[in-house]
Amino acid sequence: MSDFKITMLGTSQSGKTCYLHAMHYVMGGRGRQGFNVICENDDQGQAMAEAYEKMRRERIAPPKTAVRDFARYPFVFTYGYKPIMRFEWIDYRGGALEDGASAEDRRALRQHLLESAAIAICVSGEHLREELTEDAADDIAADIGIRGISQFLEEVHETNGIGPNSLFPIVLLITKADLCIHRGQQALVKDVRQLFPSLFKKAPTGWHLMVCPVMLGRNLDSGDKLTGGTIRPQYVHWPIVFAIHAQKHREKRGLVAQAASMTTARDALNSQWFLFRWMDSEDIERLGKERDEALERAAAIDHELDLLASEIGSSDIYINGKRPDEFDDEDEAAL
Amino acid sequence: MSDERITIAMLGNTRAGKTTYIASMYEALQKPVSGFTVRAPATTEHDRLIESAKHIQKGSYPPPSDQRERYEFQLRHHDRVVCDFTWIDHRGGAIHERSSSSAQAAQLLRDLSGVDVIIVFCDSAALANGEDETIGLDRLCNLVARSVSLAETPKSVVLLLSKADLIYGFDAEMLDPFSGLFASIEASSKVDGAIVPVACGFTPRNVEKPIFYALKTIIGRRANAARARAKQHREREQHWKAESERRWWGPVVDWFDGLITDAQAAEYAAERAREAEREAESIASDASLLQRHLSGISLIRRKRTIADYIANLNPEAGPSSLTNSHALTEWH
Repeated sequence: MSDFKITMLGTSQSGKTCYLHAMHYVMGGRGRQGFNVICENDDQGQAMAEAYEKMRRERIAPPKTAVRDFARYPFVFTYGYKPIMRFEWIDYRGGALEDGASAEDRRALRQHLLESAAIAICVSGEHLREELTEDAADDIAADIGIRGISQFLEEVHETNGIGPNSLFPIVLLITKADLCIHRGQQALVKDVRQLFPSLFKKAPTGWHLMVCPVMLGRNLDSGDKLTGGTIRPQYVHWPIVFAIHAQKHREKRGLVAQAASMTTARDALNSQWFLFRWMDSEDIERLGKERDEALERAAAIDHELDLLASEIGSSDIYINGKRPDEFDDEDEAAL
Repeated sequence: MSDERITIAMLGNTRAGKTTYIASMYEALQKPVSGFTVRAPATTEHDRLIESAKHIQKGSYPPPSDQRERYEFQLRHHDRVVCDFTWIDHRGGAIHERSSSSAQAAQLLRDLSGVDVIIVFCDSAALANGEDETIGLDRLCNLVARSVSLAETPKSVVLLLSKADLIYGFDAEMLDPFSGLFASIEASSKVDGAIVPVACGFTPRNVEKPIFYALKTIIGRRANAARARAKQHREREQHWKAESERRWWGPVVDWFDGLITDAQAAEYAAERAREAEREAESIASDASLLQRHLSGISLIRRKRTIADYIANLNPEAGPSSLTNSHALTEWH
């Protein structure tokens, strides 16, 4: 049973399935810096590994997720082979975002999104090879299904009651980043901001956003035939590490809040007249133990957060539209 | 000595040397190595392994296994049984099959989840030639990760570099594909790991070391577990002694209630502690004897680099023996 669900949004050909297979290849076998991502269903894991090998040797992209099909992958994220989190990854046919998508597709995707604790949005680097003009931005927005994505995100925001302190993680993946990385990080982020203004709005939206380039290799041709260049995935582990980090951070905040409320309850009982205090002594002791356990678990999570943070690298991260270097005291306190 | 049987599984592609190794190891440990021998209580197993080892020494290697084999062994020190262990050999092709359609693949996954030790076989000659696919490297690393992560109990992992007599020595390029595996083991509190180059056949090398390392780590953990139990019993003993002093009226009340007294509980805890301490001492002494035979292997530890691992694998020539562009000879 998974701790949380991640759903990936993106139109057909945006690179969702290639990304998933490349990520599993990098993290599922040899791993990286002590981190691994293991598919709990071994047959599914083997199928992904074989599809990746086919991609690498024969330069054939993995089969598209079938029409009206949502593929679900149960993963375990580990460090030093110790499970840190279980999550379910939802990959689906990109047509649900396009105009003319069936109501059933949209309903199914909506349901997965509402159940998700993290969302990954794929934007193909093909669209970002050159600086975006206003006209080009409108065309590209239509190509990558921004209207559909924005509608889904609004529904998630409203239905799930995402508030200023929610820190709901969204990863904006620039897939096929080898096609546009020559433009530099700042230029790419500027264009992505233009395409998704609502995600970068400096307002208490509750979005915890990361912009992350990922690539299957260098100088690859886009499309089903991955000719040219070298297949060597890069940065594919960052989105997962970010999503896990965000979840762990929320878990830690929950534990700290739980410990604080236990302290309040314990203090209230302790401040009673001595006879009532004596009668409630078992509850006082229990609250003290539970508070200490919650704080211990929070401290253990701190260690995991440090490990994860060391892996995320220099990708852009935004909370409520602000970069960490723009936070004020109120933002820090909310975190 | 703990009655729990230690279970060891070999993992590796077809022709990585698994079946050759087990026969060679068994034959080598028929003669005492510092008093240690390995025995198969079943005569048929013993005879089959000895026969196979004789052929190997003449250069005639066993065919690849076509099914799972399970051997029951005893490690002895002189006449005393140190531990019983089970050794599982899988058909190499099973690692690439889907468990939903292959009973052997399904059994492999079940075995891996329950074993104490995984010995991962990698053909040194294939490594020297950069043949990651021949070794099935990614799948092997995935199976190790799956086995350790999804299991509750700690394990040992031995990276056995087979056919080490076919290469001049080890270099960074050969071990670099394992850097992810090493990083995970280094970061883990659930896994101990070691790298052992092994040669069977005409000029055997390190044949006994993988099994000695594997058993040493498991029985070492059992010694630590026995020490921890002893400590718990000693704490209980102290607790009951303190209660006995505090509750001076206790013996009378306990007699009426039909309970043992605090002093009796303390003595009971002390006896359990002494038992656990004796067990720990005996096991630790066996682990220490095995430890003396572990030169020439590389232990996987934090803050070690690939260069550090290689230095232990090439102790005679040192890390400068880097001429491994080709294996020396073909295996068959």
